[in-house]
Amino acid sequence: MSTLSSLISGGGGALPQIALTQSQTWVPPQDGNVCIHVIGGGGAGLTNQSLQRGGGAGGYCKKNSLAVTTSGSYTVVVGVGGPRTRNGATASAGGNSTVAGTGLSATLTANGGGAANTGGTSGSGTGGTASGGDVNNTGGAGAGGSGGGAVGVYGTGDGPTPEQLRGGQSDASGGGLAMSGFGQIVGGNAGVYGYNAGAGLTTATINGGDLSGGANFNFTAGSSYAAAGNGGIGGGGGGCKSSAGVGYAIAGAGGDGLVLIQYLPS
Amino acid sequence: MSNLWIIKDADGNVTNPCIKGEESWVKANFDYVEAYVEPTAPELTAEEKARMWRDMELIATDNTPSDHSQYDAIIAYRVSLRSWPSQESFPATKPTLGS
Repeated sequence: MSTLSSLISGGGGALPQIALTQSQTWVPPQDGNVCIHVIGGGGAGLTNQSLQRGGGAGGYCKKNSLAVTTSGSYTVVVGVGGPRTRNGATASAGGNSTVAGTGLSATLTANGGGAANTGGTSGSGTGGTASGGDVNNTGGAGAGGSGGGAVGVYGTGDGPTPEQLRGGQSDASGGGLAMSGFGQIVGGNAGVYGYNAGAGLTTATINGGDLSGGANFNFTAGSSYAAAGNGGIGGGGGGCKSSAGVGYAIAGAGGDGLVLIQYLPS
Repeated sequence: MSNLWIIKDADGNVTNPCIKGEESWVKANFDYVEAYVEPTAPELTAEEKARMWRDMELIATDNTPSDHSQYDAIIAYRVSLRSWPSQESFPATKPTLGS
């Protein structure tokens, strides 16, 4: 069954703007020209006592304009972000998102971001690649001691530098996805570093906004619970430092992928 | 039902680590599908649970003002909390305020 998981309004005005958050066969509800944005799922971050690494963001693929009719049909696959893990458990990569169908000569593909891992000197998640569109951008990579990468709308996605602690910042940041329209996609802000020195938590802004990465979280006092920020749509999850004595340290999840279809003015 | 799926090829190699979709649609569109099971965090041990409680108690009593009516008792309580993990009473018997 074809399901429109959500219909968002905003900058698109009366023209439909359709956010598909799960895989399905999509049939255009009306004739017209559409812009298609495809975003892969973000990779998850990693946590343990010596390694705190961010996940990579999903790739970004954009078809600027495609003529569609109600007799057309599209196979839409939506990748999911890697889930949270605890205390050194293996992190997961994000899933790939694709769109194929009537009038498309190539499958629009936005691969998932890589998961942070314990390998090598870096081991942070790599950004997902993209292909088949008019725009094909690689997602931002995560970093050691930092957050997850951001989806790159106008170029390769932003990735924090090692020990920078924040998440990757969307290069299309604004008021979030709901502000998207007329061929433009809008993200939110990066997650801001969280910190606890034994007296109160700072978690309000640690999650990444749409298309941005989740932040790192660092418990320096011997304490019990630490959780890094989750990536926004397609963003990588943050790494989490679990200093000695921390009983429950959780790395950030990657943000789920998305396919956003915007009808364009004629 | 989470509707999360791993997509594989005929040789069992993962071609897509995780997608979301209704079961009927996914199985109609992919030949080799496996339900994705989210990793679950292991249960905390009794020692971990006790340490979490201890840490929260220390956070809750941090910065106690010196004119607090139970200041001396709270300071003694914090000393007990800090030494508790190294004592035989850990994790079964929690320190108590005023004891």
